[in-house]
Amino acid sequence: MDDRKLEDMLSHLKAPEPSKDAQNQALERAMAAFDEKMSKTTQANPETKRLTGIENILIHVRRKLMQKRFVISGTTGAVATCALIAVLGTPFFYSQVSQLVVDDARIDAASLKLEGASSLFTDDASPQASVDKDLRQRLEEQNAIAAERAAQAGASAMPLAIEGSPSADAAAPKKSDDIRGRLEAQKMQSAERAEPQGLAAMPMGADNTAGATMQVAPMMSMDAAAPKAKEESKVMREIAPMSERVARKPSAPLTPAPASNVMPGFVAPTEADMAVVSPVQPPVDVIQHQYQDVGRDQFQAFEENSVKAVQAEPVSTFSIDVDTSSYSFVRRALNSGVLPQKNAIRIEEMVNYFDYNYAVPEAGGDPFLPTVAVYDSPWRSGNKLIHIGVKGYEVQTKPKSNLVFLLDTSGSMHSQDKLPLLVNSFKMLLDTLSADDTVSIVTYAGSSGVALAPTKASDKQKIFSVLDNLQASGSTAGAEGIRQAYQLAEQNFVKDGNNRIILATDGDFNVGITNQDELKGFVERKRKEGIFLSVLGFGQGNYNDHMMQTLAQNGNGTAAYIDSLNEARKVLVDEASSMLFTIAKDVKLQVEFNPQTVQEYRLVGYETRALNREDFNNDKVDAGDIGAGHTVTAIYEITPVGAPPLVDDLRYQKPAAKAEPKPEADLVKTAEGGDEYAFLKIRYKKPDSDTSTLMTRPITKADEKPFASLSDDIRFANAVASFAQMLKGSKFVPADYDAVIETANQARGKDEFGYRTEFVNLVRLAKTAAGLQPLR
Amino acid sequence: MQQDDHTLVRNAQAGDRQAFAMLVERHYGLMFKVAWQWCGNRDDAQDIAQESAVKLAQNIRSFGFDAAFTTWLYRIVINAAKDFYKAKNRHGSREMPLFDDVEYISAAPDPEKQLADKDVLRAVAELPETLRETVVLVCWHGMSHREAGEVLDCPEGTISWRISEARKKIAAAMDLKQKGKRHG
Repeated sequence: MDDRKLEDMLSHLKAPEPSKDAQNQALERAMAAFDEKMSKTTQANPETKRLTGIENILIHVRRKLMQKRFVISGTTGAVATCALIAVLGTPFFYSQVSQLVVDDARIDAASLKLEGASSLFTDDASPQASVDKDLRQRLEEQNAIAAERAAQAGASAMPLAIEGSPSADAAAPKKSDDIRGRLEAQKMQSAERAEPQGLAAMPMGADNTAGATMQVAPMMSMDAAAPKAKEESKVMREIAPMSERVARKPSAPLTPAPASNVMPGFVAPTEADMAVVSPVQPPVDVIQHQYQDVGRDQFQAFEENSVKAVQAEPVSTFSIDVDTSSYSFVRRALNSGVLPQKNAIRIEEMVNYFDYNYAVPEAGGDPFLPTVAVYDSPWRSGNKLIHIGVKGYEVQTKPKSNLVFLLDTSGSMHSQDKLPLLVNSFKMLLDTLSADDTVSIVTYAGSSGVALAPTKASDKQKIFSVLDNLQASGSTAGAEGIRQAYQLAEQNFVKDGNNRIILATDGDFNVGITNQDELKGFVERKRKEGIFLSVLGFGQGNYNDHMMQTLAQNGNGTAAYIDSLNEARKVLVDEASSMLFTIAKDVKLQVEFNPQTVQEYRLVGYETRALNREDFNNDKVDAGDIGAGHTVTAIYEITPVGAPPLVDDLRYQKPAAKAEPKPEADLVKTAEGGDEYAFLKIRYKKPDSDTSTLMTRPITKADEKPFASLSDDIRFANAVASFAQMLKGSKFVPADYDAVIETANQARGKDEFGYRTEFVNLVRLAKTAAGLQPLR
Repeated sequence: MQQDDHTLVRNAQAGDRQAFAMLVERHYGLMFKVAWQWCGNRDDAQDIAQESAVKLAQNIRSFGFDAAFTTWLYRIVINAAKDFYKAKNRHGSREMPLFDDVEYISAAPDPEKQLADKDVLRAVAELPETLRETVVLVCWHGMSHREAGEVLDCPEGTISWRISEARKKIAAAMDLKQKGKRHG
């Protein structure tokens, strides 16, 4: 039988029509089953059935009580429960308990694996008489408070009752008649050994125990009951099913309990009341502290930049950073209600996540132009912020690309947000490629191998079929994969083209070179050959950000973190040209501050990108690369002369500049009217060049503008920087989330893709998540 | 306005009878069809479909919206069918009338072709349970191996293997029939 024949034949066969009768009958029976199912469980939706922590504890306590068999009759159970309430008696707890009582009477006990517990609990209901008057008064008060709260909430509340379920309450007198005789006998037998108080609490609650303190009673009865446990539990077993039956009996008349048993002001709930389940507290689940429980995410630890005195250190040097991974990771954490760990926050990456519309030069000249603005700092009065923005030009003619996809297919990539997301992401990327670009795929798990020899991007079917057949398993020979990928990229090297390895991984390398320094040395050597590296991070819980950063920073690359298909689209489609086409490499910034006008400065972010002063002119020192259309923003907070400084002047070392002003500074003063804050220098290399070009620009008082008059982009960047520093727990920025929300909302601009709106929502999330301990 | 399955399920989970009734009415045909393809006779198929509808009611709360509703429904029907025959076989009768009403379901015009179709159906019906359910889903309902894997809760590769195994078995059964005819 050949392949198609069976299908053809079968698909031509029509099933007979089912008879209408059968259909109706099925529907009828299904509806009956549906009604039964729905009546069995509470009206509440499945979420509210999840037990809260407190309910769990109570259930646990009750189960333990049952196992220890010291509960002779329901009375003890009631006493124990009441004692618990008395001890922990807050209105909140009580409402939880009453909810549970109601649930117990209604929910099928078996479904909660509470065999026997429900009968215990319905037993609980009857013996109000034994309840201490003190306790009753307290319950009453709580009842009133709870009712008031419920009234405020505008929902109909179940009156809180010691009785729990009214049906159980109604059944109590009957039941007590039935079993009293047996219990009396039992009591006689154990009379000598039992403590009077404990015993008094045991029989059905009709006979009041004078002055039996609630806290003591269960303890006593436990001791007293222990020797008799076996016999008593036998009685218990006999009683349990019966009492359950009675309690469940729907037709049990709602006879009002004897006057003495009713709390003043308490009205027995009617059936109608029961139908309305009391307002359910939102489940107070313990929030999963992901980094504590499963988190092996690794981030490089670093301290926030501190304030530098211009006298002591007038020059600040750093490499640009166009990565965005920090923002995506932070977003992911906040979206799950947890504050990200502090080391995950690289302020510059969060700021640079957004696309800013800075001025762009004509293609052919310099690859970018600096945009500068000076405005009053919202973080500390008297201070000013210097905003330096850079945007690379968009490439017009895309060079031919030779891309090697280096895909991690190790076991750690198994989850949905890793390999499957990766495959979909790369399929998206393929759409942005030109037909004659070449693509090859190297995969690595326990060992590495070439999954796809260099193939034209136009042959999508072939590439797709390789991507579709990827399976995650095994260990991670990451270094070996990188080696092979570089080899493949070298073999197909396109001169004057874009030779790039795109590595997708969670960074969990565990076979071969796993030492980051060694790996760093390897990629450092390779980058000289003109092969760029882009690193895409996936997954969380075992995400090695440090490894990714090491690779990207040392391998002429950029890093992005893909937490969702949307992010994949942003990085690989909308911003594909930024990722794929480097327009300038080793971009370094150096800012020299003018001691005449500036006392102190602080660079916001770029902690992991700091360079030495002498590195700026040294072309051998590697720095960040900038892609087509990439934007980079740096913000300095400065304390101008005249404003209160954080760093005091030195007593014993007279500042050189003040004692004898530098001739250059004088020059500046005469030439520019002394209004230069700082001097900005940028060095960069063309992608194929080894020597750098210098751009310079003074930052003067002419750049100063009121905050409100600045472009949306600059104001928004400011909001992001504020937020990032708050998340990081900065010492220099007050945690005022509302101000951030306001600024960001006003500066949202066109926001075509909704990223800025999303940011505002993240700030809101952080506002509520902020109460939690930052996780480590 | 036509509500989609997930909306109906959501409403039904919240206790909406009307939504649940609509679900059952909409999908009864599918349940019956799968049941019939699985067991090959109409009476049993109706019983299985009914049982599936009841199971649907009982388990509606556990649908997690992580797959298509029909995928989940297929699983319910197939499990119901298995349970049905387990119970039935316990009561003795092992024989089940297989595709006896095939005459009026075969689209083939000439009687000889109809007979051949019937033979194939019998071969399908005689397959072991796991192979049969796979054939029903993949060859008859045109599911991809991946989808079938989701329904039957096994890897895609297993489905592929089962299909090739089933083909071999059906082919062997047909060969035997052919030989039998030639000699007879």
